[in-house]
Amino acid sequence: MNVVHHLPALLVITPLVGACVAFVAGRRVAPHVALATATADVVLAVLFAARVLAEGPFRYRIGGWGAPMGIDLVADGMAALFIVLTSIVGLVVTVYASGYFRSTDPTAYGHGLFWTLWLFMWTSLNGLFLTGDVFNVYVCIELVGISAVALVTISGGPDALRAGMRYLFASMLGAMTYLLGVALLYASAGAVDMATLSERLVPDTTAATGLALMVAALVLKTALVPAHFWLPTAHASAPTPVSAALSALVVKGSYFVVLRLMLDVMPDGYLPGAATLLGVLGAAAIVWGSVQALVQTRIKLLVAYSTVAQIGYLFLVFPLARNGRDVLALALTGALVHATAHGLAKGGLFLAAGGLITRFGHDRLAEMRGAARAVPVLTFAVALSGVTMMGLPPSGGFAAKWLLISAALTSGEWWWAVVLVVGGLLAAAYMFRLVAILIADAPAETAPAPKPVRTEWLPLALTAAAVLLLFAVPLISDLAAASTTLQSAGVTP
Amino acid sequence: MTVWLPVLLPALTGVVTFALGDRRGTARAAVNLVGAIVSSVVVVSLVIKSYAGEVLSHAVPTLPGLDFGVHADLLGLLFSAVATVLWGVTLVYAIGYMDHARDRARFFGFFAWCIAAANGVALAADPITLFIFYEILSLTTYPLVVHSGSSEAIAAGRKYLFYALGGGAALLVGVTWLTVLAGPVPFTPGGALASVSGHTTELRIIFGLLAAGFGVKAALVPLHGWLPGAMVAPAPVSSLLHAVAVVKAGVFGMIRLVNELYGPELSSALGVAQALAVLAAFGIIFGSVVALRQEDLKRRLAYSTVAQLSYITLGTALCSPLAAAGALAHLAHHAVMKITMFFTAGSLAETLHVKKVSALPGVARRMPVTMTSFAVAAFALAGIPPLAGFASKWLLGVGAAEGGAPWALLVYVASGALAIGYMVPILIASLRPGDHPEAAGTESDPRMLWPIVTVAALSIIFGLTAGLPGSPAHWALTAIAPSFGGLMP
Repeated sequence: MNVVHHLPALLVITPLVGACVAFVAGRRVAPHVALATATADVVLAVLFAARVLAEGPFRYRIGGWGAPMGIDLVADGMAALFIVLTSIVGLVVTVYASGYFRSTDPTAYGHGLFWTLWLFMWTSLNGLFLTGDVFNVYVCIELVGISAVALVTISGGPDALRAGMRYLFASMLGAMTYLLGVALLYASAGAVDMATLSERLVPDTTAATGLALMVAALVLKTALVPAHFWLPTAHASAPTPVSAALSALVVKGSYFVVLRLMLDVMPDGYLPGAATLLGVLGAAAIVWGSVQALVQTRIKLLVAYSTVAQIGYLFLVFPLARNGRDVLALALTGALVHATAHGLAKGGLFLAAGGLITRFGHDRLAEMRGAARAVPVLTFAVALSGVTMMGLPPSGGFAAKWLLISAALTSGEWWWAVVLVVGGLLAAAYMFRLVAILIADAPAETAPAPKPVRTEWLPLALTAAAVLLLFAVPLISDLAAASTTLQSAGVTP
Repeated sequence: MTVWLPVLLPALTGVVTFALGDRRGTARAAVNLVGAIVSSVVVVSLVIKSYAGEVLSHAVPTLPGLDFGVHADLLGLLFSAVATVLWGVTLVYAIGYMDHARDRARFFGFFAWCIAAANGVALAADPITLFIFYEILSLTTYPLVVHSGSSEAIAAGRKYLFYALGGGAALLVGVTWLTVLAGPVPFTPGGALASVSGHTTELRIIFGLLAAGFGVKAALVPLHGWLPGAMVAPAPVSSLLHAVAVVKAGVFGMIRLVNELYGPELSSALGVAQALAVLAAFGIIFGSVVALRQEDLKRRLAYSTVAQLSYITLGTALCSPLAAAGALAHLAHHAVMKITMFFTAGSLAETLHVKKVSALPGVARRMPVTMTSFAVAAFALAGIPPLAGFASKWLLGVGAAEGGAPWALLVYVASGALAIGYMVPILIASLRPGDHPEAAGTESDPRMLWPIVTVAALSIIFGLTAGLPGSPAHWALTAIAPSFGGLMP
């Protein structure tokens, strides 16, 4: 048995085994189990991406059954990219969490549970990225949702419980709506496998309603404006490592499925107006999220609203994708670079925000003056993440913006370019408001006593990776070319 | 890879500076000075190669169909050499000036990164690479502007960012649009857009966007508003960045834009060069007149910079070979002259707490060497022969007459008179008897004094050697010639 052939299955099994072992091992050993699992997952993810790059997309038949009877995993460049991103951010979050939970009161948190839930969520995310049929998507997305809600409420505080309830409501509503859509789609086309669906789908009302419900449900789970109501409180009141994982990875999971449905499954000319609507909502998200971020007085809420804004960029790909395969390649690569850059930078920014909260003992922005002198590394990490949020070079945010603006200008739909430029300036406004507070001179008497922040280099590593992501764009571009979307559109790598 | 060193060495110096932290002052000074000296040696060796006709270049592939590349041509090396050599001089000054300041690791680290970015702007082989370094320069300057952390500094920083990021956005749209229209457009002497026919309206709008983007850093009126406010930064920042590296990145972008992207011919044919020339001429007169009325010494120098940068833009926009060469030469000449003046202003503020023109009486008696250096730079700026300013203005004036724009000659003469008008009162005021209690002839810290003397001497040397190979004027003529189809007399 050659390990390389079973990489897709191993990527799901490894974190699942880790989760089970961590549950049994107890709170002292669990962090070590999680670290080992995370490291193994990084290795597997990199091997997996290398194989996809070398061989192109392939299908993995679980147990050798094959669709439509068995379950097929689809291994392509897009899946590989998100899996690698998840593994890198996941590893950093795991290391951060082992320090974070050690320094807090061991009885206040569901310690042992954190590691199990966290690895379980990782399992479901990897499953979500690999799955090739729309019903399996439902299973994975439900599992991601449940473990994410549990992680948000793990501290047990009243704020966390309130935010968790709201999150649970959104999550359940989304999952149920999605399942209803799957049922309608199955009634119409008699299949749940994505590749089969894209061949069999005929424009009838049942299938159209099913697809519309599924996309709407995923939009709710991705927190695209106006369905973002649950995100800021959930992401802001979770423990710091959870906030980072939710903002960097979990919203990307449901977005990934939207990409699959809109670009792979849905035939051309289906659901007219859906792509434009998603683009318009994306533009609205950029403006509304940024304006909200600008007026927040608590650091984690600012960062969470920034996520609302940054999610908007991801949806600009849909209207642009209808303009021929060259523009599709530019726009899809741009969206994938943006998802990667945002994952790294937002993960880093949440970890840095958590460090600042630990350092100051509160999360009130106005009282964080003088942080630049007290915790220079964290301040620097915040500033670097700002470079990506604003889309300034040489960050991944810049590369994404460049690609999307090129796509907009090539297709003649120049108004999306205006949205991208304005979004960058709005991001500059809220990020520099944050940086200006941290860098301002603090009155000596209110300067708080130093509290050790042991994990301050981790956020810096993530944000620095996001800032230098321009140099990894050839790789992301190759992975995008190895996606089923671009392969079936006839774009050669 | 050698061609990346002028970017990588200062960047590495910055990293080491941050790593050393705030306490190890001696190590920090040593690392920075060694970094500056090695970088200068590398740049000079590239200049020697480039004079011999060997232009090194290197590119790293990044975005699809788009390379991130630098090349060591004479044009770029002139700016790079000015920035790198003056970085070394300014470091000595800054080590003296910042002796008791806080957060010195942050200061020197970002200072080095600014130079790395400026060198990137100088050597960038295409508009996209230039844009990338241009934005990095904006970002790395911000912490230096707000260095003190006072509310005044934060406000100035906000204004600076507002302008810089707005300009960057215009530049981004312009560069993307141009690439979509024309494909990759590496800088080519004489213009890179030969393949584009028609699209005149689009090309005009793109030129406007790019000129606006560069115009922000070039303090082209009405985009100059950030510069006087940014004077709240420590003196070495005002000296090196707001007289040399940052503002010259803007005018250098203009030079690349007119000579090597659109080309002088296309720029005139589209009518965009003429529009830019009129704007720059207005900027010269506006900056000079406003400078006359400034009571704060650094603000007066800042408005003088606004005017002098527009000299360079005007010379470039005239699209005549001698004026373009004069503009490039003035980039170097103005750098040494204005840095002398800002060094002096910093010394007066730090040693004597003199910041206003009205507080100057007695200063010349107290610090004769410093004020003599200032006088040399002031006369050079006004264009008195045989100092540096005269050489570039001669080229600019002759070029204006040759290029069929005698009105520009009038602007240059008028602004020379205005420069005397805002500089000489400073000298006269400092010569008046005043009350500075310490013994006459006590200068500031020698680490601040000698850099002033050095750069003042350069203002004399650049003027005297203007005809010799290797001097900025000769260098500029050689570097600009290919844009006009060959060697000039």
